[in-house]
Parts: sequence; structure tokens; C-alpha cells
Amino acid sequence: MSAVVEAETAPAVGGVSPGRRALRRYLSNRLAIVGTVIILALLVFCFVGPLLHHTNQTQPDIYADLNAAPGVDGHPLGTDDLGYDVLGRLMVGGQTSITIGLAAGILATVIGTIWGAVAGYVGGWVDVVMMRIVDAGIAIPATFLLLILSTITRPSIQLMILVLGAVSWLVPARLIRAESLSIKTREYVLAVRAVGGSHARTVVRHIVPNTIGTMIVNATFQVADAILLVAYVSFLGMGLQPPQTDWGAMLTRGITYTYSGAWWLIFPAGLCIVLTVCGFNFIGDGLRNVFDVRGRDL
Amino acid sequence: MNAAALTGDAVVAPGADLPGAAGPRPRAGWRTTYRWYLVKRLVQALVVVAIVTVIVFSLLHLAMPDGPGAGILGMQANAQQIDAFNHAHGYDLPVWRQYVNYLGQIARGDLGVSFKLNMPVSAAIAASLPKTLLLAALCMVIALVVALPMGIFQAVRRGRFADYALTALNFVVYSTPSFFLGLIVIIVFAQKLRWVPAIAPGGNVTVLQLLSDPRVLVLPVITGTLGIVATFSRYMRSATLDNLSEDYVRTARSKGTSRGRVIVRHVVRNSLTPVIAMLGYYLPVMFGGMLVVESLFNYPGMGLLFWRSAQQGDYPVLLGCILIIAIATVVGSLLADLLQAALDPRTRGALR
Amino acid sequence: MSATTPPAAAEPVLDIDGLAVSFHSEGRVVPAVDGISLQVFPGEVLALVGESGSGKSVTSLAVIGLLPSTADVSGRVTLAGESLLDAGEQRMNRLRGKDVAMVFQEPMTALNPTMTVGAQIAEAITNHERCAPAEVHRRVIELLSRVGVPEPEVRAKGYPHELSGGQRQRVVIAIALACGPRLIVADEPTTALDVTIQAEILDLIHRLAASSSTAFLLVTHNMGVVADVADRVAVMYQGRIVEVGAVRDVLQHPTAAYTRRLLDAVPRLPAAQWDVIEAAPAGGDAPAAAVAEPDAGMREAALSFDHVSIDYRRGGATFRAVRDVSLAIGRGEIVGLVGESGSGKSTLGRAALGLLPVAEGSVRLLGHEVRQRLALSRADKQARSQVGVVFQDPGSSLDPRMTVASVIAEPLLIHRGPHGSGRRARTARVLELLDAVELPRDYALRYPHELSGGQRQRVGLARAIALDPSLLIADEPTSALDVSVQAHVLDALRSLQERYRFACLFISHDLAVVHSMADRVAVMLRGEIVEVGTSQDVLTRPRDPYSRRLLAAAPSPDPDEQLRRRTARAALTAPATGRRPW
Repeated sequence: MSAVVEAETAPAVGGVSPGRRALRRYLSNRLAIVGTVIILALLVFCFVGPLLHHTNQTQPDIYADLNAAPGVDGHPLGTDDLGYDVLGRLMVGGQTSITIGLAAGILATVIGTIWGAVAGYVGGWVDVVMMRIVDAGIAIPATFLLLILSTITRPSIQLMILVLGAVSWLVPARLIRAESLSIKTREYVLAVRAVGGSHARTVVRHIVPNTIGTMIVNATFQVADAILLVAYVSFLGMGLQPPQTDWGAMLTRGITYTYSGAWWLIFPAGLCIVLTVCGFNFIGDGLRNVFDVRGRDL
Repeated sequence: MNAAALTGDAVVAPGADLPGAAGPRPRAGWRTTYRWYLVKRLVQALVVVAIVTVIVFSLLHLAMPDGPGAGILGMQANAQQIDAFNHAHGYDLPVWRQYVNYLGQIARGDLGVSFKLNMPVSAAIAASLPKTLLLAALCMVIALVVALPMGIFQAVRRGRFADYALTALNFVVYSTPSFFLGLIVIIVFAQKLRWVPAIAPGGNVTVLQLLSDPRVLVLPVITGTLGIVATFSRYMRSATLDNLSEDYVRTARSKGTSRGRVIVRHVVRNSLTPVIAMLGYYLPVMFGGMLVVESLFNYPGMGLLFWRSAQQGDYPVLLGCILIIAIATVVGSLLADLLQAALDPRTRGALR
Repeated sequence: MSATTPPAAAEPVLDIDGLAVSFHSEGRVVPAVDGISLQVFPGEVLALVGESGSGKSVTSLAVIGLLPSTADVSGRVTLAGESLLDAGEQRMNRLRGKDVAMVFQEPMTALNPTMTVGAQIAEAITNHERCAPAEVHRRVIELLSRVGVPEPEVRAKGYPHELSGGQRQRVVIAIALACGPRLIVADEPTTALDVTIQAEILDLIHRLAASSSTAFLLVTHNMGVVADVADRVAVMYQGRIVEVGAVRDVLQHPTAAYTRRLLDAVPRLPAAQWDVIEAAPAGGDAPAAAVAEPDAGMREAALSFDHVSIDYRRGGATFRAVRDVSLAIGRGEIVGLVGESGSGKSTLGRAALGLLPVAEGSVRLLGHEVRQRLALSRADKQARSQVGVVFQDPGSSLDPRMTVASVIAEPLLIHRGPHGSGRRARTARVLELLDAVELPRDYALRYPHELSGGQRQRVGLARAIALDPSLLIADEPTSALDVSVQAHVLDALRSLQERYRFACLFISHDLAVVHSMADRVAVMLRGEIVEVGTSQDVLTRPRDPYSRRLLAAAPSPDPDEQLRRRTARAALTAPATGRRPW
């Protein structure tokens, strides 16, 4: 009794593959293009840059001045309080920040998807218990949790990825669970179950592939959030120790020099963080339009 | 600092949405009453809080498997003294035993005693929590006053330059770590313009003293508010957009209600509901944000307390703070649900 | 095409002249209406009929000026002499609700859920007139009673979600009537409603049109609705009007080829024996279990329900969706299951598929008991391979991420064997099935979004018969399709059944469709079977009071038959037998 659907003539297909159409929709979003450009530029800067601008990032130059202003002695952005070249530091820090962000974001999405898909599909008390655990996790602010973890140990890069992933999987779990609940009742799923298809088949071949849109969009936002969290982690005193560094650590160290006017210790790192996170957010927003999903309630 | 996604179990869908005649009414039993719903929610809330305590307890135990004795007594203490300390405080009992004891403690309202501050945890929290709440309340109120109209404005002007510009601005603010934002705010207002002092007085200031010299509140409030504005204006925008495409808007227009009138009389009320739902879930994010802001500005709230305690390994305080936050979150989301029910007759009806 | 002689005096209320509408989106221009001319006179009901894509809804939106900004409109639309297309937004706001009002299709979402019913009706009044609150309230109550909402005082203070679909549509009509408009545009006002409710709403429209000089422009795809209430009808096809005239003329002696095709495609019930029905005692015993069993001589039933009850949980409460139902479907037999929403027919179908747990009784598939289980035993799986299912919604019956070939092949993967295993065997079978449902073989590599609704349903059919099942369960398989498409799909189903001889449980709300397919019919009301019998018996001489009301409410495209039904309906509902299905 619902509204009548299209007439018998098939809709004009015109040989445009779904991939091509998605790309067109993505490119029509100006912010998304800006975001993509930013991210690509930063990736080049961080990973290709060191090949062009050689600096020693494992041992500071003992002959260099500390906190030297930019433009001195082949240090375009000056040096930091340990004598490292700031521009080089920026590149290396960027590699770390982006790597951790990407890895943690993807990890969070994978864990969250599995958790949410299972909870949504199985339903019943299993769902209730799994979601209460998610609620409990969300009730603890991430920063508080990170701070507690900092009392345990100083993290390495791998540990940071794990920790950030562990803190961030809650949101995708919620989202995917909602999707899973809705897909579970779709007729194509019912048809498979009716003819004798197993639960495994249903989940693997039907539910998960149809949540890919949400997954991808959410993963992008997770990466953005993870990069931010990396910065917070450093601010809270849990950051990486030199010679390792990331933008958050640079920013945190720089804050102590606010009043001495050494802007090159603060703003380049801060700006990089803002640009990267912003870029990923723009991309996520563009992808959201393409897949026509929420991905996040922002 | 990601805000919680909209909960999977959203607002209860309206009862009879079958086409045509309303379906057979469910037998109204005790299970459908409002009271039962409340009870269910309370039980679930308790479960959540319990799980929170389990998580935090296990983490802290991981941090200090041999008890906090070593950290508290310092480097000079020898093994005997440490053991004595641990034994005296029951830290050598098996973990689950300690946990049960702790639960018993909480049930009696006793949150333990802080090692470093030499006062009961509840006293320490009671001294600092009101200031955090003051800051948080100010930030939230100002942020909503700015964000909600902004979101509606963006939705109405969707796709046009104003929308793009504000969206971009929101994203930029959202993408900036709050301590960086705070730093910029300090530099602009305190250093360059010299309007307000940069650092808040730490130590034992009361709420009243703070209010009497509100200049110290300005910078923290600005910093905290910006992030909330960015988040909530997006929520309001998307909620408004959703509602603008609903059928009842079309019906209202067909009655001759002008576009502006439709927004004010119909759309705003319905868009507020999901946004209010978010408020409850946003509490942990708020607290998390307060932690950073307080640390940056040396503002004597619960966040600063937590930070200092973490640096000093003051176990009971950490546990106590998280417990308070968890309870606040759970109560907050319950209140948000109730508020939603008050606003939305469908939830009211389904619960009758 | 010029209109035939109008019923009454000269000046038309609505005069559309050369209206053309096209949409521009994603860089393309899509024409929707291609220059139509139409007139509606005071007091008459003009039906604008067509299938999807005909442009009828777009026309209605153009009249009231609520087309999206992506629309380009040209031509002239005049309402009582005033041009609507060049009136500014402010002028249009003053006209909307006052001189021209609209009733939309979906009553469930047409009202603001957080505003009281009374306030929403009042808004229609206060938008245009200055009125004391007491007076407004009085008018609101009066409007609610005029449209037939019981207890208007109570309802006015209540909220939309407390009302059923039919009642909400009445409220929407009340809103439209509030200022006594000259013209009411109704876009598929009864499409989303149950048949008996639809009949009541159409009665209401009929009464309103007869008792005032308000003109109605009724947009619909349903010829039966046209035959029931309209005075004149205009037939639209692909943005053009192909025929206009008095209802009797167009429906009984159509001149345009398209009209003829359209009317041919509408499934018709045979003329019911109304005199027999009316003569029979009202509320007479309906021997519900009379022909629950298939004809003697049939061996094991393909599907049997034995005193089955099914409970449904909603928000902590359980209620019985199906109550003590017994029915058997013999091999090779098509049994129709009719009912309105809430009757439990779909629930029964899902239980047969093992998708729902059965509270009491048993469901047997070829003798094997069907239960909803966590994991299927071998015997269960074997039994399931004997069932195929076709669902209603072409939009969600196929996984959008799978090609047509994968969709059809999936049952073959779940049950390896019967048609040879291995890729080649499967591909061969898929192509064979595509031929059987009359789809071109190269559709195998297409995705669902590249197919039309009817084509998707055929793919669903192919999937259903992939394993050569003994039983097919069809749950409203054509309800979401256009009439002409529906006819093709039903033909396909019929020929498949003749060829493969599977039993079929055909669930539908549409009596005429069921008649064209089924040998026996069971009527369900609120979880119970109220009548069972041969198709001929139940659909021409029903005995149960509800079945009679259902039959009387079923719209027929023949105006004479429709008139007979209308009188029968009045006779059947007047002596307050049975519940008003509110």
C-alpha cells in the first residue's frame, strides 16, 4: 500500500558505474576537495620533506643555539630548546602524529564495527550487556582515562596506538549497532534466512558490506579525532620522549615558552595539527554526502 | 574529544505506525507503565556505574600492582615500610576483595581518604567540584545561546555562502586542541590586549570569591565555550535540516504558514529534542574538556585536582573523581531522556 | 485536449493552460509535465489519474506552489481568475489554506507530532482570519465533527500519534476545509490507507463535494477511486494528458490507447451477488473452518497451520497477532490470504518461513515442523530449501551490493547440490531462471539500483524459484508497483506456477489481485481467519460480515459496479454491525 514505484522502463543507466558517480559527488563538495588537498600536501611535507631538508633528528646539533629564531644558520624555522631544527622536527613529528592517528583510527573503527555488528545482530540480552559496556566506556572522559593510563607507563608509539584505539572504539560501536539493527530487518536479509542461510553468512555477506559506507565515513572522523587525542596525550604529560616526537609534544613543550615570544616553537606545530584534523574532517564530511550516511552526529 | 554518537536505541518510536487502522493495542500491563520504565533505566544506570568502577579499579590496579605504598611513601621508604603501609590499607588483599570492600565503602558514602592531601576524598571533591560546575555551566549556557540559533541559521541558508563559511569555521575550531585555543585566547586577550589576567588563582578559592572577581573566569569560559559551540551548532543544523524535509512542514506550508513562521512554530521545537538528547551524553566530553582547560589556566576545579592526583599517584582521589563523573553522566542522560519525554508527546504516550 | 461539457455553470475554479514543469538536477534537465491544460469547475471532483512518472503529483504541487527550487515552471495556472504562477510568495501564502488547500498522501507523517491536533487546525484559521480564541475553538470542534472524528473535544486536545491513519487523514482534511477554500487538491489521499478506511475517506470526500461548491482536484493512480468519487477524469501519461471526459465515458468507453491499456491491466473482481449478500442474515455464522482443508484426495499438504497462535512483543508487552489459525495448502494449490493491516497475514507468512516463533500450535512444511531456531538442523535446512519467498518492497528485497546474478545464485550456494555444484552449473541455472522470468540475460551483471521496480520483483521471483521449491510464499509482491507493471509481474508468476506447479501462499490486501491468482481464499481479521472458501465463493458471496464489508469497500473501475458497492457499503455499515475499524 505504499507509494507506487517507477514505471516499467528501467531508469537511465547511461553506463556510469557507481564508482564514477561517487567520485563525481565527492568532487562537487568544495570543502572535501580542500580537505583532500590539505592532507595530500601534508603527507608530502612529512614523508618526502626530510629527503629534501636534511636534518639530524636523533641527535641535536650541539653547536646550534637553543631556541634560535628562524632564519638563522640554515634553520628556516629556528631551533627548539634541545637544539633540534624545528622544520625537520615538524616533518618527523608529522610522520608520527599521522601514523598514530591513522592506525588508531582504523583500529578503533574495526573493533567498534565488530562489537556493534554483533550486538545489533544478536540482539536480546547480549545486546543489552554489550551496549551497557559501551555506555560505561563513554561515561569516562577520554582525557581522564588517558591520564590514568599515564600513571602506568610512558608509552611507545605502538602502545599509544593501542591505547587510543581502545579509548575510541565506543562511538563506532554505537553507530554500527544502529545500522546493524536496521539492516537486520531488511527484506533481503529475511530472504536469506528464510531459505536456510546461516547467521554467519548473513552477517558476513550482507550486514557488514552494507555498513561499509558508515564505516568508512566514521573511520575518517576517527582518524581526525585520534590525531587530536595524540596532542592531548602529550599535553597531559604522557607524550613521547625525545628524540621521538609528535606535533602534540612539540606544542606542549612550546607552551612553556609562550611569554618569551618564541612563536616558532608553538604555532607551526599547532597549525599543522589544526590543518590535518580539519582536512580529515572535511574529507569525512564529503564522504558522508557520497555514501549518504551519518557516520557521526556532527 | 569525540562526542558520543546518537544512541542506537533512540527515542521510542510511536506505537501504532501501521498504515490504516491502528494495530491492536498491546495489553496494558504493569510492564508498560512509566514506573517500570524508570525502574529499568535506574537498574541499567547502576549497571553502567558498576562497570565503570570495575574498569577504573582494574586500571589502577594495573598501574600499581603492589599497591600505592611505594609511590606514596617515596623513594626513601624501605620494603618493610611499604609492606606495612599496604597492609594497613588493605592493599595486599586479592583484587576482587579490594573491589568488594570498595563497593561497601561507596555504599556507605565513604570515598576514602586522599594520601597526599590528607583529607577525605569526598571533602576534596566537594571543595573543587562546584567550581568545575560553575565553569561548565557558564560554558554550556553561553554556548547553547550562540550555537542553537547559529545552527538554525545555517540550516535555513543551506548550501549558500554563509553556511559554508560557518561550517568551515566550525570545523576549524573543532579541529583545534583546546589547549592551543586557550593559548591563542591568552595571547590575544591577556598579553596583547591586556584586558584580563591570564592565570586564575589556584588554591582554595571558593565559588563566591570567583564570582566576585569574574575577570578570572573570562578566558577559561571563552576557551571552553568555543568547542561546545562548534559541536552543538552542527547538531542543531543537522537536526533542523532533518525536520525541514519532514512532511508536516509541507502541510504547514500548504496552510499558508510562511517559511519563517514554519521554522519558529514547528521546526525549532522538534529540532531541539535530539539536541537535548545529546546534552546528556555530552557530559563526559564536558568534563574531559574541563580537565584540559583547568590545567591550562590553573583553575582550581575537579579537573585540576584530578591532574595533580594523577601525577602524584593518589589512588583514592582518582577513583572518586571518576565515580562522580560516571554518576553525573548517568544522571545527566536520564534527565535528558526525561526532558525529551516532556517535550515529545510521543514518548510520553508510549510510556503511559 | 478540450474538456467535455462541464456539469454546471460557466467559470472554472481552476484553469490550467499549457503548464510545463521540468527539474534540473546534477546538471541534467528532467521534464515532468509537458504542456497540459485542464479545468476544474465549482462543486465537481476532477480526478487526475496516471502511473508513476506521469507528472500528476508534480501538477498538484505546481498548483499550490510548493515545488522545490530545482523546478522550472511555465504556462498559466489561474485560480478564480487570479494567476498563481506569477503571484509572489506573500500572495501565495495568503491564498494557500484559504482559497486553495491541499491534502497529502501520508497521513502518518503529515501532522506535527509535538503540536496538539486542535492547534494545528486552528493555525489554518488564524493564518488567514482574525478570530477570537473561543470562536476559533468552536470552529475547530465543528470541523472535526464535520469530517467525522468522534469525540472532537477530546481529540482536539490530543496529539496526532493518538490517532489512527484514517483519523489523521480526516484531520488533514479538516485543516484543508478550515477556511472554506474554493479548491482542494488531494494527492493520493487514500493510497496509504487500508481498503475499508479508504472507502470511508472517499465517502467523506463525496459528501463534502456534494454539499458545498468546493471543487476537488483528486490525484490518484487507482481507477477504482476514480470510479467511486469523481465526476470527470483526466488521464495523464508521461507528462501529457491523453484523455479527458466524464467518468462514465472514459472508464466504460475509453478512446485513447493508453487509457484502454491501463484499464485492461486493472484486475477486476467478478460482479458480486449483492442481492444474495444483502438478503442473507447479517452477522450470520461464518463457518470459519469450512474449507480450511484442501479438497479431499490431496495427500500431504505443502504447508499447514494447525491451531497456530503467534505472539508479538512490543516494548515489554505481548499481544497475540495470530489467534488459533488453522489452514492447509495443498501441493500445487494457490491459496490467497487477504486482510488489512494488523490482520496478521504477514505474520503468518513469516512464521511459515521460520522467521518468527510460534507460541502455540505448529506450522508444517511438507510435513516437517517449522520452528524458529538459532541453528538449523539438517532436516530443517532441507525443508527450507523447498520454500521460496517474494517480498513486497522492491527497494529492499535485493541486496544493493550484489549483482543480479549473485542474488539469484545465493540459494544455490546455501544448498549445494540439486542443480549440480560448481560455478558453471550455477551460472547456467541463473541464466535459465532469468529466461523463466522473462528478463534479458545480460541483466545478470546489473545492480539492483539499475533496475526498475517491476524488474526487481522479477529478480526476486527468480531467486525464489532457484531451488525449484514446492512452496512459494508471496507477501504483497505487487503492492508497491504500478498497475500495468503489476499485471506483467502477476502474469509471470502465474505462468511460472503453471509450469513448475509449486504451491503458493499469496498474501495481499487487494481482493481483485487475489481473485486473479488464487484457487481458495482465506480472510483474516485481527489475527483470526473469519472466512475460508473457494475464490469464487468468498469473493462473490461472502458470508462473514467483515468479508462483506471488505468486498463492499474494494474499489472497482466500473462505475456501475462501484455504485452498487457504495450502496451495499452503506447498507452493511448502517446497522452498526461489527466494530468501526478505528
